[in-house]
Amino acid sequence: MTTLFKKYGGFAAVHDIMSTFYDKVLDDPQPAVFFDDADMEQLVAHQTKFVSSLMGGPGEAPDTTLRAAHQGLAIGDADFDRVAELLLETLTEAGMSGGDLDIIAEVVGSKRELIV
Amino acid sequence: MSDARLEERFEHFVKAFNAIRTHGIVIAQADTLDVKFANEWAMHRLRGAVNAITNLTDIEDIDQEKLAADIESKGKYVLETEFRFVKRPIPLRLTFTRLTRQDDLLLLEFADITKEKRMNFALDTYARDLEQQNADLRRERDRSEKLLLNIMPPTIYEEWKEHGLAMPVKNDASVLMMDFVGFSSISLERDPAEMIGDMNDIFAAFDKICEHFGCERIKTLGDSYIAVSGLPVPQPNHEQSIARAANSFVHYITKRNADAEHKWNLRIGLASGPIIGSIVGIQKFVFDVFGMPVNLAARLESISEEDQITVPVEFAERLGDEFLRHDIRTEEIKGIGEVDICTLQAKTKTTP
Repeated sequence: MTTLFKKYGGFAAVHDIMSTFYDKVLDDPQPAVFFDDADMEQLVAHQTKFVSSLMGGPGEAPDTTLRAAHQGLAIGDADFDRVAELLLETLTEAGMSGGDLDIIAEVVGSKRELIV
Repeated sequence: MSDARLEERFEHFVKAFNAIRTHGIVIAQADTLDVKFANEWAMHRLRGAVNAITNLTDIEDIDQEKLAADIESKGKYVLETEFRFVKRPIPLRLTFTRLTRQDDLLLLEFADITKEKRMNFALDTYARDLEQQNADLRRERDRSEKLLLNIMPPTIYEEWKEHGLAMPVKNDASVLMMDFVGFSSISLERDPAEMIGDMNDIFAAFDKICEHFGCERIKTLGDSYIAVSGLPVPQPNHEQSIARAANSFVHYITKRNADAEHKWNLRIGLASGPIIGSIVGIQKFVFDVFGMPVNLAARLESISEEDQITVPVEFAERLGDEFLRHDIRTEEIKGIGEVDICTLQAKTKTTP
């Protein structure tokens, strides 16, 4: 069985999607405030690993790391929803189709309590 | 071409340049660096840094001398810099080339290299991760290698690693069997941790002695210690090597007993002949030795006197005059028959 990671073009493609995703996040005033002091290069690298692992590719994003990274940022449900929406929007634009999108949406949703 | 046609063509070019949304394009006078043209994307991107670019020197970080020198020698000048656009710094790569020599014009092209830089950073990160993983793997492999080298000789390990199996070896070799006297009662009487500690010390010393004389420890079984010489790698003087090792065992234990609270006494049997060495077992495998000499050495060890080495006379005869033969006798050995045997003693001390 081919993984979503392979299906959508592997590392370079996922990295490109994540780079676009963060451009969207930074252009959106609601979530952008959380990234004022963030090192975007590092963030995109991390997020590529995270999404790669969600798609069955290499990389790992342990829940403990996710929780630690978002602790103390006072992220609300609305912020989480907006960023998740932007992620799914980016993936849709990158050509991800319904079923595959649902899989990602579900996994992302399951991480809500680690982040909010 | 009419002026009107020229004008029309010019407008098309300007529209085309302004339609470019990924690159900034600027044309400037080479000597004064005055800007003649800048497409919309360039104006838009550069406005964050300068109010309007009327002259290339408005762009911070431009090294005018280097610009002139690089254009002259290499035909281009490349500058990587950051522009604060809204809030975030945006990395840009600016490339200056000469547009035309006659008009003495410079062309500046630049692009947003955010994605490129992010990709490079990510690749660096993954390369580092990979390096770390490789180091972890290497450490793990070294650990298992060390463990495997405990249960098989290095040459067998190499063969096994390369081919996934190792063929049995049959050599003319010598075998040593060592056992402690009265071990059962020692093990009942003494504190287990202390007793095992003693045994570890002794076996560690024996391992060193074996290594010194080019012998191979095969295994320990309870309080028995089994070693060979000439297997898996053939050795012409295997009898001599094993006899010297045995003699050193005795010497070591005697010396140890002289100032130890708990005394240990041993018996050793040696024998030589064709011996097979092979990995045995599938899941729980171990390198082991088989053959008549192995059984004979075990029997000789069991009838050996305390702290003595018992060998077949035939074996002793091959040692030359390095060892003395005592107590030559004939014994009925179970499963083998009558064998002339003797007790072996070194003429001079052989210490590793």
